[in-house]
Amino acid sequence: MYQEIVLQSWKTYPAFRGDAKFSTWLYRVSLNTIFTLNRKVNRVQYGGVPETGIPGRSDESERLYKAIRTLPETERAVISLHLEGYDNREVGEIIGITPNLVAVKIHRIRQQLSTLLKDI
Amino acid sequence: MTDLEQLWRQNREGDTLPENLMDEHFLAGLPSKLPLAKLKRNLFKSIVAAVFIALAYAGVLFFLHSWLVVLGVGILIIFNVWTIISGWRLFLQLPVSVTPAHSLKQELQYHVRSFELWWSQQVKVSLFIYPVAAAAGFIIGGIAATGHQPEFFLTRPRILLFLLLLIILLMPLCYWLDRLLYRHMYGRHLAALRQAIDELS
Repeated sequence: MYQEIVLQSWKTYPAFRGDAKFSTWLYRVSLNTIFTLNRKVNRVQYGGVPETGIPGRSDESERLYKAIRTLPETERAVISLHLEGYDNREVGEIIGITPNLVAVKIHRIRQQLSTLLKDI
Repeated sequence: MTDLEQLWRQNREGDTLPENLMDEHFLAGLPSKLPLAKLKRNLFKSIVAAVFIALAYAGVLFFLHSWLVVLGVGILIIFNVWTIISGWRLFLQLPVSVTPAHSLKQELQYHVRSFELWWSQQVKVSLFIYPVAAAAGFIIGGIAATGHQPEFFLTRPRILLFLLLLIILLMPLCYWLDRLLYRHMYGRHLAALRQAIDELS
């Protein structure tokens, strides 16, 4: 998947006009590539104590990311963009939904995550 | 020294890969693993095959003397040419890469529509070309095996009935087999795309 994202980024870079942030453009390419690749659904079921995490991440961050990985992929995309600091309008433009719907989804995802974090 | 620096130093002189990656034409030639990109490559191969088949049919015409068979092969050539033209139009429409200008939902919808366009073309091919080709093959085979002219077969009610039954049987069979193959190759992927679109709606 990473190789495909890099390939798609290289192929589409000549069309990048610079009217949006580079990170926004890269997020679009990455998301569009990930969701249009033929792959198995990547949802993780966690049970028990999580093993060693990524260096540099606090335990709380690690638990949060593990909880996020159990969400459906579209919700994972929305919350990841939100956590990266994009506002509802920007998330809506990248995903293709209205800012109001983004707000509703984020609210629901937060409720789901708080329930999940109790179990992880 | 970082891993990247080590890798760069190991890059031997004369290795043109890093420079080639800056070349658009080189990039365009690298194969993508996106299902739609694979579909586009397969469509191109089908178009090339259809061109050779049409040329072969055109070549066979010179050796046929019966107007009935010429008519049948002529119809096949027309269908083949139509398949080539519509296939080529679809080939030009299909994207070679993801479209960053699209939102995620637009990209998913675009992919689903592209697959559906390709499928609708496949249905037309399976309903018309395969059965007609089978019927023409049946007659040509009969001519080659018996030495009789096509009129000999086509004035025999039993043979006509058999030919008719063959075409009636082949049309749904070809459609069903094509659909089975389509579902096997792309069914799960399309279901995932549609589910993601539903989740975003």
